[in-house]
Amino acid sequence: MDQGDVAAVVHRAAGGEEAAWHQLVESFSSLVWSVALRQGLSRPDAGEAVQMTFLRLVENLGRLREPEALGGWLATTARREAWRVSRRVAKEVPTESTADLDAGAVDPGPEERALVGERARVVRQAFGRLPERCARLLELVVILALPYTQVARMLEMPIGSIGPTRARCLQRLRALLADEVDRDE
Amino acid sequence: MSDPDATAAELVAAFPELRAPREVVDAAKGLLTWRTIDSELAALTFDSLLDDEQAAVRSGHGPRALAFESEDLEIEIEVLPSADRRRLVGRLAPPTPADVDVVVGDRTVTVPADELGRFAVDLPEARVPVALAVRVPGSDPVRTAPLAI
Repeated sequence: MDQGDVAAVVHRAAGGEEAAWHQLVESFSSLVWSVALRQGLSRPDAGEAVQMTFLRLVENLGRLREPEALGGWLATTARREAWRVSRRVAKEVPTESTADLDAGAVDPGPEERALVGERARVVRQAFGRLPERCARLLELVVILALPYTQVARMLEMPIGSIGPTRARCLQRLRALLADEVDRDE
Repeated sequence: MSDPDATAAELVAAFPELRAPREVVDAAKGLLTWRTIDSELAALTFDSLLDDEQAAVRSGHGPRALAFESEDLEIEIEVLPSADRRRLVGRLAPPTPADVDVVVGDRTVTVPADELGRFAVDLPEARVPVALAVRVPGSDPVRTAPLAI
């Protein structure tokens, strides 16, 4: 999505324009997904929370008070929907079908991080040693690939400082990576 | 490794689990079909799973029961599990024939409700968001808010 106009894309989606809706989903689904995972949901349940969150968005496309602040709205809604899903799952009597569903998850879960590879392990360690603000910014901008306008709002930073901060934080990460490699040797 | 873009690419590659899986993204893309116009939204008034712990304890593996109400129509549904599929059965009150659009994920199935307001449709085995739009001849359609069942 263009850096600028999330509000305009929301408006077009509210008018029923499929392409605009797809753009919103592509831009924000990883944010919603990561919020749901952080609430402790399994991957199939996180998938459900993502669907419910985007359903809430469909219902509210025309009534968002601040469509330009969509990222924050989606993060809040995702936390609520994740809570609702976890509450329901906790009450649900496990059945064979849901057990199958869990086992059928396509992607490796967080528990399988070891499988991600040695280099990735080192990168994750270095990332974990970044100052929190750097880690948060890199997660939103780089890992989740959110538009700068949304990151600026979510982190309450001027939009002009996102690019330079991203560069500075990547530099720090690079330095930490070099440390990690030295340490391992 | 001195290029910031290369570092960024490594960072992306190191956290694959934080990016939404393709099938989740594609499913969300289909959700715009939930957007409806000119219909009344029936409120969820009962969910056996959340609202009636005693019933849940009492019935154990009993079916999930839900009720929705609009000004003029009540919609009751139950989800009956079986070996390889699930069946949604519903009833309209007051009883009336109608066409019922059952929206399952990004798919819509239309089934008739008979003179007693009864209707039924198969559901996939996996939990999915489901919503109903009930079209009673001569009245505005009534839809339910989507719910994972």
